[in-house]
Amino acid sequence: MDRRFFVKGVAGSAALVWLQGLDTLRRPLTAAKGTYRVLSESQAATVEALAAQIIPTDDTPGAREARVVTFIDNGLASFAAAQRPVFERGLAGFETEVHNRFPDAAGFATLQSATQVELMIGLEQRDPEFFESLRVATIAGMFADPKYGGNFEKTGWKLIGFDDRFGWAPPFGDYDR
Amino acid sequence: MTAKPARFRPSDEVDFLIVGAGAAGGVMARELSKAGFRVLVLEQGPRLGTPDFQHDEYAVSYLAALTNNPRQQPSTLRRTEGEKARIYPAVSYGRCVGGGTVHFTGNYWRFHEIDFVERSRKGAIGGTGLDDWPITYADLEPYYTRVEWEIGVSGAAGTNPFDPPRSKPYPLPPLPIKSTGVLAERAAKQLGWTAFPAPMAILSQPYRGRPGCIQCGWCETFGCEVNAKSSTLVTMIPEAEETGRCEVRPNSYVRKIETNAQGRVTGVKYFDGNRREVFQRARAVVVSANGAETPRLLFMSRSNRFPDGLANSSGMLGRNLMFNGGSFAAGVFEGEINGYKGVVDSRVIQDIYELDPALGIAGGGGFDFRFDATPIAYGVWGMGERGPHWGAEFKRRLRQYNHVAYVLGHSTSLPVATNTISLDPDVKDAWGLPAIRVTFEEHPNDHRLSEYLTAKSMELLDAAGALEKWSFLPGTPAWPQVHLLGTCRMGNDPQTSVVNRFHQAHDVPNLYIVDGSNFVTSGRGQPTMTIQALAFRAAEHIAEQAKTSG
Repeated sequence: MDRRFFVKGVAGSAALVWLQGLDTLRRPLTAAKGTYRVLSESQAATVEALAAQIIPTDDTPGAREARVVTFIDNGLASFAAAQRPVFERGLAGFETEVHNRFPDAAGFATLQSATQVELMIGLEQRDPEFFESLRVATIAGMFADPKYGGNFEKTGWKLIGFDDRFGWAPPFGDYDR
Repeated sequence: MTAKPARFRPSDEVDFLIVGAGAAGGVMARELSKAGFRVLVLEQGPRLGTPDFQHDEYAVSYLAALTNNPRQQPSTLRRTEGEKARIYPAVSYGRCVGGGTVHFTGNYWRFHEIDFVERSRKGAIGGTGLDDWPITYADLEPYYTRVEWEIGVSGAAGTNPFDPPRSKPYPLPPLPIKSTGVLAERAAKQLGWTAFPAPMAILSQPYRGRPGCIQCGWCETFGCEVNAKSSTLVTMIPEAEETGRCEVRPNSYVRKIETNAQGRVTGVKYFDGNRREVFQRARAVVVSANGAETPRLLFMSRSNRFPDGLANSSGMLGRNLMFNGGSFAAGVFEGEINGYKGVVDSRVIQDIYELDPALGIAGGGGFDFRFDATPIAYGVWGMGERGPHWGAEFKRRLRQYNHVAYVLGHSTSLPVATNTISLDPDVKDAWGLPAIRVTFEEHPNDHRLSEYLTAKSMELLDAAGALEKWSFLPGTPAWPQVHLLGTCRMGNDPQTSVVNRFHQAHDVPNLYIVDGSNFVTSGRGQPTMTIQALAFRAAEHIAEQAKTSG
């Protein structure tokens, strides 16, 4: 069973675009932090805060430090452009809800973490298509090769202990010593 | 002396035209050209080489650099014949010279004797077309041995108590054991079972001019950057070209096999890389396009004389589609496993190859311990459908990356006539050809088998000392399916099979079908070894027949 399990649970969903939409990317992306190609500043702040709840920062780095938002912006501008409608609709709906519930707040990113989590649990139920797209994009941005704009300085790989040396000799782990 | 690869013109009538340069097509090309015939291989995909084989998970796994791209070649899926199929990535296959052998994991299990005679030994099963093969393990054994020695397979004979008889040991010693393999041994011992060195189509040492494996660890879904993986791209295909009688023509997408008034094949029509249609003449055609593309091409080759598709007087074309069932469970261990380092599999367990009849579940299978989730894959699906998907708990599990071992079950999948490959009536690919339509509903036995294997996997994880564990939902595993079997069944009776025991179409004397589509039963996973053994056997017979008939 040499299977490509990656679509388990993802197959057939719009989020697949994040995993199958790459044909326009042939060169490395080097967008600087803080400038975006598709997202507005406020959208970027919301996306970054959402991603930071999917892979949070604690005593170790998370999606924020890996610059997942840069990966997502790059993707929406090029290799995952097909996800733009899902993102635009999903983000607009989410920001409206945040504004209705917290009219005095300057956006989702400024809310308390517990409040953000509660809003995201609601988002996951209300708009699973956008949520899954966001989730897959965050994971891809965390762990794809840094040339795609995320996984900044291999933050994601270091977090999980993946070493991109691609050549090893036994022992490989603690049990085969 | 090495001759230059042949170059044929479309007007040249080649002796054999092979559709597909994969596991079977590569063997056919090598064997038929070495036997003295002029051979042309048409391959849909490009010809790639080591510079193209990068460790870029995002590009390779998800861009479909080595496989069919679902956006250019969509497939559709439905459960039963009454439904309308929807676009879905239902099948995945190697789409480059070398086919699936370029990106496969390299598990090279032989089938056992039971796989060929399960119907007569164990009895019929309601709702299935379970049948014996027209050949036995003994018929195929010499060709299994040839595969091992011709392409280079690493393993240790005599270590698997359930191994069927073999005429020769492996040509290469096994690859080094990994932590997953040690855990497999530990678990097997607890259950009174045996974990033996995995037979792998990856070189443990230099062999026939190719280097041994460097243990990069990225075999599954990736191409090998040092040619240690024994793909047909680096074994059979260059040897075929060295005869000076074989041309491999990439970017050549066959859309129709043409036949004449006598019902004989005359050649094929294909799209070249610029989507221009070319007619290539041939004295005989061998279709080795895989269990989905082969029946699709035969359906697309329908004509007035063959209105239901070429070689389909039996009505069996496209039927009995099988994928190999299985199960999937995961455990977290205290020590580092680092599954991403080194070849995917190092130990295999086959103690339940034939299940105890008292269980009332048909078939059987085997297990291996591995951790084959590349980083994105682990985050997207690796924690299972019921695992955490985001947040602090998700991050905790991400950080267990180097401590996780998976137990994979690999099993039979029963042939069911209503599980089929057919042409989608509406959806077309980027060339305007009808999309592959998959109709598939798991047989209830196979679901029970998957549940059983899942439970056994959890037992194995406990026995290995897992601190935490989880299982994936039992049942037909992930889409897209990659083991595409059964759709042009081999048999002695032209009423119930598509090809005879030597892979010749019952209906068309100069048409041969050699790939996973010929399987009568699914085996217990890992079909490529058997596909290639069948190809060596088929080529020997076809060459003899062609020489005697002139």
